[in-house]
Parts: sequence; C-alpha cells; structure tokens
Amino acid sequence: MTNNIEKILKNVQKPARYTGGELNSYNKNKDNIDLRFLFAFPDVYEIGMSHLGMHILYNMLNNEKDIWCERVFAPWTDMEEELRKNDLELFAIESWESIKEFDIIGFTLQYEMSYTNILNILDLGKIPIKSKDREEKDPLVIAGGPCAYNPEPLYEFIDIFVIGEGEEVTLELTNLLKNMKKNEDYNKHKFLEKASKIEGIYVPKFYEVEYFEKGLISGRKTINKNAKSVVKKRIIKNLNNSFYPEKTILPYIETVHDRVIVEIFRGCTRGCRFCQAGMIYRPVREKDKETIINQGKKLLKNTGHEEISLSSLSSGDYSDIDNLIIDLLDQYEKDNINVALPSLRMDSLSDELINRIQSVRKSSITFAPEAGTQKMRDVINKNITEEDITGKLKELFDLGWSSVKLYFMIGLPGEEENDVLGIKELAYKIKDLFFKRPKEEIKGNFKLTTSVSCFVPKAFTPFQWEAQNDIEKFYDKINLLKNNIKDKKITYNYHEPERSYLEGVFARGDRKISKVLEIAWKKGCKFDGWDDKFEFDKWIEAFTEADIDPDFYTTRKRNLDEILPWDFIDTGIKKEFLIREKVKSENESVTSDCKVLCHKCGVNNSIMKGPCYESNN
Amino acid sequence: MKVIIKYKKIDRLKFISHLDTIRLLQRAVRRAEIKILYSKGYNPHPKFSFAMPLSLGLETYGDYMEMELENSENPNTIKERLNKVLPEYFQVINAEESENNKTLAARLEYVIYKIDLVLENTDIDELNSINDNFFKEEQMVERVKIKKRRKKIKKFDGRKFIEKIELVDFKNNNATLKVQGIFSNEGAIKMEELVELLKKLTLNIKDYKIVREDMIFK
Repeated sequence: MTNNIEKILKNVQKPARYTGGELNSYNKNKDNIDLRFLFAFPDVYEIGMSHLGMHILYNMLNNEKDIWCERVFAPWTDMEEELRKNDLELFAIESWESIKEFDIIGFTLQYEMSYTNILNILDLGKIPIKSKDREEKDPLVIAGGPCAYNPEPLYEFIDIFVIGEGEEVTLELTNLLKNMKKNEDYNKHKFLEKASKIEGIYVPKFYEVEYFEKGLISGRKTINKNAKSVVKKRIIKNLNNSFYPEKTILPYIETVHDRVIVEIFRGCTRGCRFCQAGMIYRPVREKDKETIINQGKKLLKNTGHEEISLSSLSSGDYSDIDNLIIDLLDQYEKDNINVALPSLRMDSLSDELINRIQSVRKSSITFAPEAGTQKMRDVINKNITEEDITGKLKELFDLGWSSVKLYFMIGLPGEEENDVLGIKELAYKIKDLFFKRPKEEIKGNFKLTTSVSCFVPKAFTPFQWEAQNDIEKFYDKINLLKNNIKDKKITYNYHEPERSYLEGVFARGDRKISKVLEIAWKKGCKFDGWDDKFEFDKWIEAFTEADIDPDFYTTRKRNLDEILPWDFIDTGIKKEFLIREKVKSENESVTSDCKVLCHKCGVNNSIMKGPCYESNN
Repeated sequence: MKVIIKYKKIDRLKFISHLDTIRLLQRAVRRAEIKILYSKGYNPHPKFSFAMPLSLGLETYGDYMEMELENSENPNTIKERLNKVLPEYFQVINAEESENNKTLAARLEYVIYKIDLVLENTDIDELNSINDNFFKEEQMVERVKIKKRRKKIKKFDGRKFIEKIELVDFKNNNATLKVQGIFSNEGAIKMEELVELLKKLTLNIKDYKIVREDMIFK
C-alpha cells in the first residue's frame, strides 16, 4: 500500500526535504534519457536550495533534452537512521531512485566542513567511497566549487575535479560521456583520459606526489600521458550571454534564502589579502543592467517569490549600482516585493537611496571592518578607514537606523594584543556615536552585535604561507575581548576556534589528509559545520590514528620556496603577485582597487588576454 | 469579493505542512497575477483563511480555503488561472463566490475521510458491524501533547467526534471505510487515533492509508 520510502518519510522531521516535486523541478521519462546526472549538495536541503550555483547547473543540464539532472542533499541524522535501519539506499529526490543509478554524481564543494557528508552520501547509496574501489557500474564522482581549488584532501574519493566556473566545462564533460557511450567507446578509464585533456579538469589518479622525509612535498609528476602538469581554471568570459535560469525550483519548505537571486557580477577588485574568493574569481565581469532586470523579472514571474536579491561578492562595487537599485525599487515596491541587498557596502550608497531602501524594510546595518585597528586593516588591505565607518554610521543613525552588526577576524598575521582590543574600542566608539547626539535626534533602540571569527589562511591568497593561530591563542584573544566588552547594548559573538583549526587543515591540506577524513567519518563525524553535531575529540583521535600532526598544516609557517599542494593549479594569478602582496602586507602597505590601477596580478594576460578594464591599461 | 476554493493535495505534496501550503498558495496567487487583499501592517500577508489544517502525511481531495480579492472576478477563471500555475499534485477542484460572513472554520461541521485498510484474519461480519461495535461502549483516546517541553495528556471519548463509519468495499483482506468525522468547537479526532481504536476493536490492521475526501459546512 505504501512503499518503503513513504513509510520512513513518516518517521522523519521535515519529510519535504526528501520528496521533491517542487514547482519548476524536472521529472523526465528516463527511457528518453542518455545521461543521468545527480547534483549532490553535501548539506541539508534548506542550505543547498539556497545555493545559486545549484540552480544554474540544474537548469542548464535539464535544458538538454537527453540529460536528466536530479538532486540529492545530505540526509539529516534521523533520515540516515531510517535508511540504514530499513536497508534502503539514499535516493534522488526527483525520481526516488537510488543514487547508485546515476552516470555522474557531482558534488559541490562550498565548505570544508561538509567533506564528511560527501563520504556519508556515497556510503548511503552503497557506493564505495574510494575512487579505486568503484567499479564500471558505479557512478562517476566529480566535484567542483571554490574548495576544489585545493582538491588534494579529497583526492582518494573524487574521480574528477572541475576547477573554476562550471557552466561550460560541465557540458563538455557530459557531451564527451554521451558521445563515447553512443559510439560504444566508453569505459571509465578511457573517459578519464579524455576528460583530463579538457581545460579545467583534474583527474587525481593520473598524478603522483612525492614527499621529503619531514612531510614536505618534493615533487609531483603525471603518470598518464593525457594528464596536464598544470590545470588551468575555467571562467565564463561574458556573463550576459552565459546560461542563467528563467525559472528556478520553488521549495515548499522554508529555506535559508527563500527568494529570487540574480547574480550581478563575478570577481572582486578590492584585493583583500585574506580573501580567497577575491583572488580565485578574478577578473571582475559584470552583467548589463538590462540583463539583470530582465532575468529578475522572469524569475519573479515564474516563481511568485516575494523577494528579489542581488548576488555578488560586493554589490556596491557594481558600476551602476544606484540606478540598478532605483529601477528595482520602482518596479517592485508597489507589489509588496522586497529588494534585498546582501554584501552591500553601505559606504557605496547615497543617503537618498539608503532612505528608499529603508522605506521598504528597515533591517540592521552590516559592516565588515574585519580588523579593529588601522594597522591591521592595512595589513589585510581592507582599504577602509575608521572615518569611513563612523562617518557613514553617523549619517545612518541620523536617518533613523539603530541596529548595527560588525564582523571581525582574529588571528590575522602580525596581530598584537592592542589590535584585538581595537575591536572593542571600535564597538564602543560606535555606541558613543549613537548616544552622543542631541536627545531629540536619538531614535530607536540601539543594538550592536560584534561577531568575531578565527582567521583561516587559504590557498591562493597572499597569506597562504602564514601560520594560523593555535586554539589556545585564539581562546586567549576571544577571552580578552569577552572580559573587556562589558556593555549591555553590545552583543559579542565568536566562532569556535576548534572548527577554524580543522578548517585550516583542509584549506591547506595535502593528500595525506584524506586518510584522516576517512577515519573521522568512520568514527561518525558528519555535519561538522553544525554546532550540535561537531565532535572535535573524534577528529583529534582520527589525526592520532592516521599518525598525522594537524599543526603541520595550520600553525606552521611555510617557506616561499616550498612546493604547495595546490601549486599545480593555475588561477591566472602569478605567485610573484601573491608574494609582492605578502611583502607589502608585512610593511603595512596597501594596494589600491584594480579599477584605479592594474597591479599586474597576471589575470589580464593569462585569462583576459588584455586589460581587465579599458581605463587602466 | 470573497472566493472559496476547494483543492486537492496529493502524492508527494502530502509531505508538506500547513504553513508550507499557505506559502504555496500565496506564491501561486502571485504567479497567476490575481490581486488579493493583504493584511495591513509592518509585514503584510495575504488574507487567507482555511477550514481545518491537514496533518502532515495525509492526502486530501477536499480541503477548503477562502481568500479576498481586490476586484470582482468570475470564480471559474480564478480556478483556471490558479491551476495553470499550480503543481500537478495540488489543484483547485472548485471555486465559488461566498457572501457568508462567518469563517470557514466556524461553519465546518463534518469532515469525510476514506480509510483503506490491509487486514489479516478479518471476516466480513466483523466489518459490517464496525459502526455498531464502535458506538457500543466508550472509546478512550489518550492524546499526548508536548507544550513547552512538558507532556500533557488529553483524554476523551472518541465517539463524540464520529458521526458514522461505513464499510464501502471489502476484497481479499482489503477493506475501505468511509468515516464521517465531527468538527466541533472542542476540535476533532485524528484519523490515526481512530485507526488505533479500531485496532482495539479486534480489527487486525496490518497497514492503512487515510485520505481526506471532503468537508461539509453549516
């Protein structure tokens, strides 16, 4: 009467996480399909469905008649328990068929702390977790996304990594697979050989890494003639004519970002030295205002969403941001459709515009000074002064805003005690700014939230050689602030250093780390990004059992001539540029926005084949 | 102008909650470009009112919802426009204008359910007398509710929420019952609770499926 899956759905929280059938999702007849692709997001449905990249690739692949792209998300622990108890395989939410039935499973790597979920998803589909143990009949397992820029910690589990932006290269891969199958010329090994010739594709099993006695890399070599020694990232050169969905899946249950998202540009010109996204997504490529408006209009019409949001690394840097926002507000205010502007630097907007946004919804103001003192902001090249922050906030307070959120990092290179205390001082100054005004001008209930995260040095940034603070040092700094911020109006939050430390291992890890990942997963680690699921003790046990010292990856400062595990990837940015930036950072010297002056990072020559901006050649 | 729509919510969509259903309809109304009235205030929401929420996991072929339109429109076009933008497992069956001032919930009298049962060792006589057996003596239901982390147990006689139970079909150990439930100001009985009561009445139930069929209003 009820099938097995339906039975277990009755026993889990939020069953609609697993049932699919949403508006604008695809159910195809599999008899007419040549290739079945499974987009796998290694976290829960509500997070995965908020991810723009998934919507782009899902619709792009389903636009192909002979491809059916479905979805799977990490099942929550109650669902996992039911699946294992009833000996059922994890299933795709469109067809409700086992994930084993697919030709390709594509994982998106958004966050290092979701890696255990990747192994768990494969295992729940009764697919061997290691590439070498998978047979011809098993799906190909591929992975892409920002964390693929340091792929080595996952090298044992993933057959193919896609480096860079996925739109074009994913179709190249699926076309190759379809053609080989059509010509009856397919086997996995042959496919991997052909795929490894495609730009942006990295097949880890065609490479070998050798180490010195102390664990440093001594060399890397290709062991298959088709493999390239350097893998160059892929980018979409022109976003105006690149695929963008006209309709996106409308979830039934509430997701993290339950709204229409229109991407307005990729890349960032600011050059913050801690920021991996700012480096790997170079160069900046903007979409035309008309394209943005049209895409938003279609998406709103096809979903009925009540909110539209602009997406980019720093929306205020869009060259025509004022007019874009005005156009959107003019169009949607009257229909009760909210215009959301995340990642917007308030200092980039005029007061008039801020006032209009406020009339739709008066939320809190967010600033990310990242560091408390000017010295540290110069070290990280944040290019924002205290006056920039306080000046803008004064204006905003006068306009009636009263709730502020500030984001900071601790553990940045060269940080001293007074730099940490600078976070407190800035917070207190902002509070004074609010209250030291004539009484009649003070409106609203002042609330300041100060969030502090622990810095994790990332690959392909000028800080890729730096030592991360150890957990104890992080706690010293956290407690220093805790003991000094004693004001009821100021809320102080901090991130757990244990998790940042672990993130640090994977962010700059090499192949040896894959063993730790496997052991930790076998010990039951999963959903490591979730506070109530993260078990640091088990991870420490895993490091011990694998005989690996995590400090080697985190607190160790690298020499500039060391071979880094990700050196074989070419992001278009030259290592010399990163070194120049590192030296400048040590001298507390800043680098201007690339719109002002080209700093010769290399992207212009290697990727754009010309200047990124006409104005600065 | 007020419009009452009768809708079905079946198949995979039985797994979405009442709150999800409200959001689904709100967005469908937007896609269909039907102008409806919103509540006033900081966060305007559409003026929808439902007869009775449906538990997660149950299908329905007869739930009712009332909404207020900005302008006067033909209810049949409203139905067509909504169905064009709604998913296949959620469709409007009927739409009509309402001039009643009372809410749907205040007017709801009976809820009709169909229960398919898979039985073992049950004979037809037992099934035929199910209604009489049910009403013969007290049918205690113990409903556990967790409110603010505290368990609360509510006890009541299930008979006061049931009008009648009818056997519609019986073949090879598969039986279909039609149940007319009473909706009063004291609430209603859940069909899962009724199934538990039937199990105690010597029915050997192996599996079952509940579907809400319709509602009857005063």
